[in-house]
Amino acid sequence: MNEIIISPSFETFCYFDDNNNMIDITNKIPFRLLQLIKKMRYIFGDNVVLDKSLITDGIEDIYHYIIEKAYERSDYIFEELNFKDQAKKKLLVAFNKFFFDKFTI
Amino acid sequence: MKTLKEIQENYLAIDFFMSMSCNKSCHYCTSYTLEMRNLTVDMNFLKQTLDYLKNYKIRVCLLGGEPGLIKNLDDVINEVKKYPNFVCSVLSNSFIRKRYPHVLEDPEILYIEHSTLDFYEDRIEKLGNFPWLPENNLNNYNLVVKTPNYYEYKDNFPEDMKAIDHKNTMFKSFNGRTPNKEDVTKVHTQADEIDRKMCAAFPMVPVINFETRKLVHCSKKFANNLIHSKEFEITQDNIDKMMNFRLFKYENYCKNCMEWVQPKGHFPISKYASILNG
Repeated sequence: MNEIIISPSFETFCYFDDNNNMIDITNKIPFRLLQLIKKMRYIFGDNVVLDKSLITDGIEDIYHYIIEKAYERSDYIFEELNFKDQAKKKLLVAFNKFFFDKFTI
Repeated sequence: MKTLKEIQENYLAIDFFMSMSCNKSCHYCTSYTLEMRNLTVDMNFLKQTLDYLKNYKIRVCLLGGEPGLIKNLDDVINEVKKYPNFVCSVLSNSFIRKRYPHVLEDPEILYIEHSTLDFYEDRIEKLGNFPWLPENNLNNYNLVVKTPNYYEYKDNFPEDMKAIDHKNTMFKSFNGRTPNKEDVTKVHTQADEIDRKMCAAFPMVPVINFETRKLVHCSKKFANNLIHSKEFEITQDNIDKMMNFRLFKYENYCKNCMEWVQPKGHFPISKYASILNG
């Protein structure tokens, strides 16, 4: 499983298995990770993507720290933020790395 | 005139330790020497350093030691003020009021006066003979360190507490400058690891050390002579890396650091958004 499909409402999460069956994993994702995913809308808007293949090396520590802090603190990142495109790309990689480090099926 | 809030939200601060010399010896401060040395700033070194920083919004914090001891402080301030994207900030124990009183009249200079040594049962021990700064629109601020004694004895001095109860007083948490970790744990716990990691990426505050001509990771560890903070050459490349959060790492000394970091972090997330990849 490389990619997790997120419903437009951010309420349902699934992936396609080897037979192209859509498997709902919403209940398998820990609550705090679900909260983190929802928070990511403040950074990425509707373009939140969960895709393991996005993960690359060489992202500066600060991007990982921002994601980690958003996970650790419920009151961190609570309104829309205007990161620039380059920073958004790096945050998306950091977010995916953080998520897939914590969540496997 | 920029307000303190604007400055705090939009600028990254860098301490300029022009000289380590100070006329005082606060018990919780180790970034000083009573030896009078290097009291004239090398203007060529200053100009070169400012030139490296010119593309960034910087709060240049002039301190030391005591900046009021610097013989050519007016020249230093004028050089900093040439750059529209710099804010000049001066931190003094009040000696500035004696030697460079015009600094307080210039609202473009953020003047912060750390004029209190500590609170005691029967007195507040001041570092000079000047009264508290009153409420003003000149960007002049009292700085009061919330030492363990502050909490214990502040109620003994209602008139003083009333005199500093206004927008021009900053309260600063007691922190890792003290040689005694136990003194810190009396007033606050260690910041969470994620906050220390974020602090490490751009501490509050890195230092330009004019004596060694090095860029120093963190003033707090610089102050603690037990473990020296990591040092870097002052080059354009290193400055660019620092300003983009790529130079400094989470070091071993960060793991023990007792610097207080407020729960929302020492920079708001909006500040990261405005700086990263700017």
